[in-house]
Amino acid sequence: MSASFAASAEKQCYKIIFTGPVGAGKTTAITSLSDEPAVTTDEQASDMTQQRKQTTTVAMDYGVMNLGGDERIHLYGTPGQERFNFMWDILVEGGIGLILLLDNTRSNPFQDLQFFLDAFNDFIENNKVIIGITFMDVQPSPSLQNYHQKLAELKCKVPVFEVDSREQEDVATLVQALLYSHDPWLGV
Amino acid sequence: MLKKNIQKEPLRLAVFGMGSNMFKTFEFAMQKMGEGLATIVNEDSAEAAVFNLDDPQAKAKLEKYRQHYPEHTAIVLSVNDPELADCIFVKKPFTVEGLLDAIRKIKRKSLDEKSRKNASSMSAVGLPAVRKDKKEKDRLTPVTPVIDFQTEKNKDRKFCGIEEDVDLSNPEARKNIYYSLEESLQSRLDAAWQRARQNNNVVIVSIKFEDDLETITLLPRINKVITALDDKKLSYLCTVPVYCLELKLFRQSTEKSRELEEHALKSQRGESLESLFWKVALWTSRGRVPVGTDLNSPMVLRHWPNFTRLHITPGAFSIAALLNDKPMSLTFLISILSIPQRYVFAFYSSAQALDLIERVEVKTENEVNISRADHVNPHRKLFGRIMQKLKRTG
Repeated sequence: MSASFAASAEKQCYKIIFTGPVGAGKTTAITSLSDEPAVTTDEQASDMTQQRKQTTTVAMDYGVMNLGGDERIHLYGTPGQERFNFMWDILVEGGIGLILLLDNTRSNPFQDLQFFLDAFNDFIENNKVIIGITFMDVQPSPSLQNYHQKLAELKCKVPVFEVDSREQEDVATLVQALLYSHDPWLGV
Repeated sequence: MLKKNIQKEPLRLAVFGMGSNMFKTFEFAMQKMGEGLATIVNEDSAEAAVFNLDDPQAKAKLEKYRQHYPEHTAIVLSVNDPELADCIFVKKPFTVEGLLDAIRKIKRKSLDEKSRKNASSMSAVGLPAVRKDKKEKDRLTPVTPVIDFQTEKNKDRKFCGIEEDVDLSNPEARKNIYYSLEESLQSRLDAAWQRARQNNNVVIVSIKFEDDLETITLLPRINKVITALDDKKLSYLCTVPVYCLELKLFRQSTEKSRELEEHALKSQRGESLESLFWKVALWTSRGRVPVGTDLNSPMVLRHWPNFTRLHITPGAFSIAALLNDKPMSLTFLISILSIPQRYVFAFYSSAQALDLIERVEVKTENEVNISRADHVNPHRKLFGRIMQKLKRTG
């Protein structure tokens, strides 16, 4: 492999990972940021998922942000259903951070929170995670304050924001928070 | 060397509330038995003050003094302990040794602060030296500045003011960075909110100014605020001293409160309390901090503000990331970020309004261990380009 190809391959492996339970808005969030039509592997839901949405992501979502030149940031969404979680370890490789989206209308969002923080524990230890809470307009409780309390109990210091994943500005704010968590001196 | 010089210098003390006899006795005691620890000076050049709190005027004078010089420590002499935070109490009748102990405490505190300032200014001074090396310069600065503070200056003047940086070690210049929270609409809205929360019932604040009558309805159970005031008018009212406004609070009955909440929910009217209070605090502060804010004591941000629903001022992400990570003082934060003071002060004032700031007791060494040079992220260039991209698409 030539040095330039290796460098180019290295350039291309930067990823931001979107995770969260079924219906939390991962596909929508990736679509709102992606420069190219996002690739989704949505299929007609046939299990319990059907109660929450018509289709669900069975493999992963993929989008891309073109930064100019040949530099790109890959946006990967994990499949929401737990039976696909064997893919998660592979997906997070080379990730610069994790965006965890939680659906506030689910029966126990705190359980989801704990589940995903545990599932990505190894990645989070060496990386940064940002939490976005979706559907707070439909179901305001638990509040952001409740999430902060829960995270304090879990001894986790993670930024949490209310998000509408259809809004590009909201999703962009999550990404900005992720970058500044890595590097507070970014741009100053 | 520095430590020794500071230790040798007498503490400059202002004295309040003493009659001529008491003052002469005090002066004599300091000269003859004070071991050169302190010297009596007038208020303007003092580093600390002694108050005879049993004098009828002394309490008011103390309050005023603490507003003007929030970082100065006061020694209070009194028959009874007034239990005042940040003051050193010496019980009357006092002994010279008791008084000297109190002075030694202040000198130790002053020494710690001066050492810390010296350490942080050394790290700031160290940066330009590092920048001489081009490679290092590239590492320290982003490829393309994400925040252009010149452009931001005009854009955010309403929220962050236009004040240039002041010499924070100069008491006279420092007066410009403070504002009186007590005299602002913000403090009255906050009090109204506290009252609404106590009973979980709606409180309506009516504001009469000149010929206009406006209302702000606070709905504590659903965390909403309803007002017909637009941002332009509300921001203006935030700059008007509260005594120029005719304010009234109307507490609603439980029945009426539920009715108003239901109506607000159905009509999807109103904005979140946090969003309104954040804006009001920014408009009131305009890049300053409330009187009494200690610029040198460490604090942490309890958690990041909900930036997707709040106005984001320049530098807010950087400040939130640092202040949430480790305790640090405002002066330290300004020195390590090298951004205009008003952006740090604006963020502090709005975060304080949402009760996101917590003062903490930490050793000063924790602060000086953080510097921009220590935190060069290998992906800074990449992150810079992502930020540029987000700005273009946003």
